[in-house]
Amino acid sequence: MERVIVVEVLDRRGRVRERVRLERLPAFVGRAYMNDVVLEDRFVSPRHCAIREKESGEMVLEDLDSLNGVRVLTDSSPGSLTLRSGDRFRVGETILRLVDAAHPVAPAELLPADEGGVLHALRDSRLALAVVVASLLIFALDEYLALYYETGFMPVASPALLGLGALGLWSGIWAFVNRLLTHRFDYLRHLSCACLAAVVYVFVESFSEYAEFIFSSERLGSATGFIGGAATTYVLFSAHLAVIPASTRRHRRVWALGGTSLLLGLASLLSYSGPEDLVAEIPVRVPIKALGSSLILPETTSEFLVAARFLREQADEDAEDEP
Amino acid sequence: MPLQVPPTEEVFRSFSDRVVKIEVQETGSAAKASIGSGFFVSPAGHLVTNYHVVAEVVQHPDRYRAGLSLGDEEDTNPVEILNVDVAHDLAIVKSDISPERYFSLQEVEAPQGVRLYSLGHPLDLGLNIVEGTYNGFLKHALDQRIHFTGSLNPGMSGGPSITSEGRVIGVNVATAGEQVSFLVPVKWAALLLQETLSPGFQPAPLVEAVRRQILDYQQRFVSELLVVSPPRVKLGGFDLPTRPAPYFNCWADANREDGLGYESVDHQCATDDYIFISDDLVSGKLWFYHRLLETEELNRFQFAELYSNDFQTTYHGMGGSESEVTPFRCHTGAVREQGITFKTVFCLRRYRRLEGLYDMVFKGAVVGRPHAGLETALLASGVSFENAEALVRWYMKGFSWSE
Repeated sequence: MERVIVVEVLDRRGRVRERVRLERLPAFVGRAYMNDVVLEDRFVSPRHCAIREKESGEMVLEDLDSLNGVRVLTDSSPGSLTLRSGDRFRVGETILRLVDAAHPVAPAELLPADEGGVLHALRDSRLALAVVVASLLIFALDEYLALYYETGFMPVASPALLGLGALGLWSGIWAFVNRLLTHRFDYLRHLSCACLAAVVYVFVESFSEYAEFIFSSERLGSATGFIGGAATTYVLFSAHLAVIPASTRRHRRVWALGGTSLLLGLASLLSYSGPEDLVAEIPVRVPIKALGSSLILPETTSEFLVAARFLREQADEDAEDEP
Repeated sequence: MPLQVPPTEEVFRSFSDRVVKIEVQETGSAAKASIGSGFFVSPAGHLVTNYHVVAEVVQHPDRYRAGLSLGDEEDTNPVEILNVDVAHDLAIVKSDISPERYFSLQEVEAPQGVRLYSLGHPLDLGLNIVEGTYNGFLKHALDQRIHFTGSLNPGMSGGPSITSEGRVIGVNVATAGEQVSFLVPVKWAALLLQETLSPGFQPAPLVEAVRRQILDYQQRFVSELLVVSPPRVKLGGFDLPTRPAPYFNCWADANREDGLGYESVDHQCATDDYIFISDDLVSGKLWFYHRLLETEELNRFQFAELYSNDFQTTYHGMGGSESEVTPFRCHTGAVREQGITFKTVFCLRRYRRLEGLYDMVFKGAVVGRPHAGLETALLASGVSFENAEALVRWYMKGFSWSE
């Protein structure tokens, strides 16, 4: 048959349970097996009804002396048995739908399957905007708590705004890539992800300074800072890539790792200020924090000095090396 | 004792032939590195000068050489450095010249106020003579120096200060400005010469002699200090150590600008003098400072940021190039003494060519008070490691709460 006619069997919620493409017209519907559309419904007669094509090309439903009858479920003309593409009709307790080739089909949607809860929630632009504003306030608070040599709005606001600007630029790049791959920018989601990551960075840095302050270990401080920073960067890259989305989960992991390594490499390069003048400078940074001094476990002066004895060996070793 | 004092010119004429200019030149370019003075003390051609005048030759014999020139002559005669006494900044050098006249070194008692004449070569201008009076002894670290009221110029270092009869009372060593200068008492020059002239004397490798002498010096100096319980100064609710010996100078500074949200008060003490090792390096210097920070305007986080940033800087003022000292290495920790908790840092670097000698920086910051902080630092240059440890222990005993 040239013409494409499909009968869809729907379940109670209106979802398609079965699709039958009609091979010929008239097509017969019923419980018996010789029908074109066989239904499993005890209220359907063995040979219940037929779908015919009129001379005008219209499709009509013909009741074949069924026990419970047929009914076309359209609002336009109740009682009529004409079937237009998309019309539903009831046979027994089963709802069927007739569609033809011209029936419009919705475009395919993007897979939301890999998004975590946070990314999914950030689709709500109000929530995303709230996240951005909250981040700005946190940056400003961080600036305020560290400002002791001047007061006022500008010294607090400008670094926070500059930070936000940088994040905006970073997110812009991601949104641009997003647009290239999916015809959507999704800018606000990228920006809110970046802001969340920046807030986490602020906490990680604070945390590592507190660790160094309380435990007097420069290594501990550097380690927590580095690990926290690296983990946050990795998660941020993964989030950006999930928003886009970038093919499979494995691909995303690889890209996220690559991006994190690149960023860490760049950061190390930038923080390297050249061979330090360690002969004149004291190469140590001892942070003092506002909280947690009661957690410090001090030793006696003697114990501290004994622990420092390795410095002598180091200095003697340095003296052996050529300057 | 004759009542009339001969004019300075006569003193000059009588004794100027015994005083020479000592020059240190670069071996490559014959450019002058430094100029000082010296004087003959034996018929064989031995001379006394300051160690610091010839220090570069001792430290870098391949790059520098020393020579003397007589009167106004341009030519220099080479001198060999035989013996040094770094603690007193003296050196015995020898030339091939056998002088007709020379000073004999004897320990001489000089009465207070006697007229002294200092001879030397200031600023390469030719031999000069400066008059002044003998003003007794001042305690300088371990030994004493003579206070001389005359204005010496740097080039006169190493020259003699004599009475009108030509008795050497001291060797010119330092000037502190207008009409205040210092002399090393002749006794030390006499002892050094005696040792050099003694029959069994072998000139030791000079760098090793310098090392040994500094080690001995700092051992005596530090052990003398460690038995002293330093007096205290009150600062911000604390009792803190201050001037432990007369050769320390102390001064205080308060900062109470209106614009700042905090106040700071500094108190520091430093030894006046030191041993000169080379142009870049001194030893035997000890200093410490306390800084009190208080705020009524800043909240505890802002104050912690201020305190933290202030604590990172150390005004240690220790020179030394990469070739002379190793880089600083540090250890951090937390210490509790007399009920006060400090965050502490201990840093060390070594003199490359002088084994056993180190520069030390110790710093502490009192923690636990949200709106006040006390920073303290103890710095010592050219000490042994054991003495560095002992000094820190000694220093920390000096802290306590006032109340």
